[in-house]
Amino acid sequence: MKSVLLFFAMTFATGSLQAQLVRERVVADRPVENTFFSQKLALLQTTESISKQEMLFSIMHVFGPINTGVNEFWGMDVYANIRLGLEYGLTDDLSIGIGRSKLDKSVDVRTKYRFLKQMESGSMPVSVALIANTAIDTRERADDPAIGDRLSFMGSALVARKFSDRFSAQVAPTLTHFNLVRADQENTAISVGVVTRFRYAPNRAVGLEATPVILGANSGSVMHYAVNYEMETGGHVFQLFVSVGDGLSEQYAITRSYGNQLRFGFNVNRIFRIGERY
Amino acid sequence: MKAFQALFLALFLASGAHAQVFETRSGYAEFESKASIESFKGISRNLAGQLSLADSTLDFFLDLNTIVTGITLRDRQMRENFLETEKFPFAEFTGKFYNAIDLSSETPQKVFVRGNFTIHGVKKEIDVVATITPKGRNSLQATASWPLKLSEYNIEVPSLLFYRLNETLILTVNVDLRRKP
Repeated sequence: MKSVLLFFAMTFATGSLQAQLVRERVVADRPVENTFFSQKLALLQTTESISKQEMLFSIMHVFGPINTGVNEFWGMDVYANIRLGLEYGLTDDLSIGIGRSKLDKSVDVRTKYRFLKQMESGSMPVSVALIANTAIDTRERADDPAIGDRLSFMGSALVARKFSDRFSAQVAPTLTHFNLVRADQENTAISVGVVTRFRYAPNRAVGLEATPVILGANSGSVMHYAVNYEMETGGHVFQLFVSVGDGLSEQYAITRSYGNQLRFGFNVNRIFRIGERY
Repeated sequence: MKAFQALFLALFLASGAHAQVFETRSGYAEFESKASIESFKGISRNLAGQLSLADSTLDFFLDLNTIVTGITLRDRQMRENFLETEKFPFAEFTGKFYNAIDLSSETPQKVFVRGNFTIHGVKKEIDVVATITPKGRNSLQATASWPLKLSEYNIEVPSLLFYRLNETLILTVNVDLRRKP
């Protein structure tokens, strides 16, 4: 050791200055990225956030029940529900959005705030986000309910962890509420959303989501779940899924999935940059 | 290791040659991918490095996590899937230049540079012609541009992309180096 030091000392003393700077990272501890490919899995939101000044355009689509067979081309003849959505990142962690679904001709506005980020060092083990939406049923109805009676709400706390490059999971206690319901339906429900993702290739993953209702389940309704396949292409995320339920905003999917019938569905998610590029 | 660094620093300072060293922490670096459908750039303003007039050496490095391309999803994919920054966080260049730099003249001077460029864990010797423009006695502006062939550095671009990435990227650096006090 001594001789090595001496050697170094002599080398430098003779004026050779092959000086290499110490390689330092600009930011030592970074947030964990890519817990999920997209801001949602099939229907359920994830802790992934839209970056500042970026716009997410999403098309969500579920077909009719697969078990209608060849006559309805396994549900493809029927577009049960379609939702077009736009979401915008106000900051890297706060976004707002609006969407419109065919079902109940409902328009929903939503927000997501991610306030904890899982860190590479492990100093923060999970990412946590709060989401909320308000939806309004805009159908022309014979009973013509007041605006307040057309509203429904959803609030949820998403807790996610990327366990490895391959496996991520999320748990989300969720409250949903419809101001006006039929006599056989409940106003308020508490459920737990579960989302998992298994990434088997850099840009491909399969995942599972489910929303068991703990309290206030509608009689005759079934649990929403979906099996999702997704691919990311650096700008788009395409998702193909088989799911139970035709709701596309959370409160509909969670509490109003009737009939244990599987349906095909797909999402196209496209991220745009609004404003300055760099 | 700490002892080494201390020794290193002590000798370095003692040599007096530090006055001949110009450095930066906030140099500009970019890569440009030209394609018929969509050209795009990735840029960083965190290029760090130094140039020593005493022994005509250069040493630069870039934290690749600081590169942004304008779309977060593309940045993420670049970091994870092709640069693999978790394994290979830096791009580095260490070399020598072979022309004298005349600090008394503020005209751009062409300088021939040869050295080792490292990215994605692959080190290769490259030749670059840099342009150095002295700005007074205490600062230098240096620019250089050279092509980088992705396959030579084992950088594989996933096939399923909705943007085209050219196999040959044009790298450009532009730094304002200040004399080390």
